[in-house]
Amino acid sequence: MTLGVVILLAIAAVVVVTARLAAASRRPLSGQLPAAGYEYLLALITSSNCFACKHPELPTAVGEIREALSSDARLVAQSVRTIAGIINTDPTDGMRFISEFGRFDEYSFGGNWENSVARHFLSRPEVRRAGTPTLVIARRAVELGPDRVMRLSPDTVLVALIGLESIRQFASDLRSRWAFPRILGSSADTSLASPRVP
Amino acid sequence: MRRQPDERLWRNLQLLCAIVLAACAIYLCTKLIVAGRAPLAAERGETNPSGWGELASNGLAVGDPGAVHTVVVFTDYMCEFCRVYEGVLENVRLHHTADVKIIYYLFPLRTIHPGSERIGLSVLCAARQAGFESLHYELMRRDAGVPVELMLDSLAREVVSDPDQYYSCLDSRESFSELAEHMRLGMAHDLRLLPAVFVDGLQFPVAPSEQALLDLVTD
Repeated sequence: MTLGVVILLAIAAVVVVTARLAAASRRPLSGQLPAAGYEYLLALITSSNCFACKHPELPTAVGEIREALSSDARLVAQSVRTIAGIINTDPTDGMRFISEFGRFDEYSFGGNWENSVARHFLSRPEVRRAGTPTLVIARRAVELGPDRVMRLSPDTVLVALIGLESIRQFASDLRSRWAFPRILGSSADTSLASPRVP
Repeated sequence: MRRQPDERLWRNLQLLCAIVLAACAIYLCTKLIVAGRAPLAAERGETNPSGWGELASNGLAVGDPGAVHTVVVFTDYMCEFCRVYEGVLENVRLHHTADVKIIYYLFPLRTIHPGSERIGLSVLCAARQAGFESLHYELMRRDAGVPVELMLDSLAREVVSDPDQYYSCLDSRESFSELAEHMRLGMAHDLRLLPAVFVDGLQFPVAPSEQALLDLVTD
């Protein structure tokens, strides 16, 4: 009898709380967010057979760009999808090699220059050059239609970095966000130490 | 004799169900408390940021310097939300011209808005020739989808008195340092979403609605 009452009370509590949680989740965070959004893509096209791709600074530079992209996308409430295209013909080598670059959301192995990720990004008019390593930042619109079917627009390339030097330079420029004057030769302190308290 | 183990099993099963349900109820209640508190904090403005004095006394100001209320906004000219929110800020200023000043800081998102850094530098250089307000409103009032970088130079030339000085400013160390300082302040205040809004020392996790802003600046 007592057990029955406990069970009933627990069920009632779960029902009430679930209903209130559902109501709370329907509450909009901000009235300004549009129905459609963007998804940012970061695509790395690389190969373990390429000499420049094995440069020890490349994984760090790619990691920094990825971090900066995630941070920027978060500030406009959008998401990032990371894609790795490893054009090695031997996928085993490729898998071992790409693990140094951290985790990606999607991988495409093999196919040499016919690799679908490489073909998709390198044949674009904004890129037009084939080389490894290449890092592309692109954007596509994501919209949930009235029929509740998600629609993706063709992606637009925002940044195309072809070759090791371009990737390293871009990462270095992003780093300068923290310390512009140091890069430019000034001694001004731009550290992120706690701001002055009034 | 055979029924006893069955009854015991049934009781144990009931007990297990009750425990699982009670645990679910406790977990969901905890979630509800957390979820229920967050929007309240977001509506009211969450923290009183340290360094408010620094924020309120620098940046690019629009409005009466002696105004009672100060709204600080971190923005990016290529950010669509920022452009839309500018309408809210303009309305607030229109209703409370003498009471509100708005201080802008530039926070270009360089990975997703290539060119935004150049726009930031242009705005800072125009500001050195008292052209900030005109250039800012021209850039923000553009139609949606119009690429800012195409109209930037012609707009800037219209608002500055000395174009040569403006162009040399674009590549100067001082303008880079100034932009870096804007970004340093933004990062120090852990911005969550752009536009990031502070009103009289209160930092908002999301930009407040027009009504909320009006309520805050109405004495």
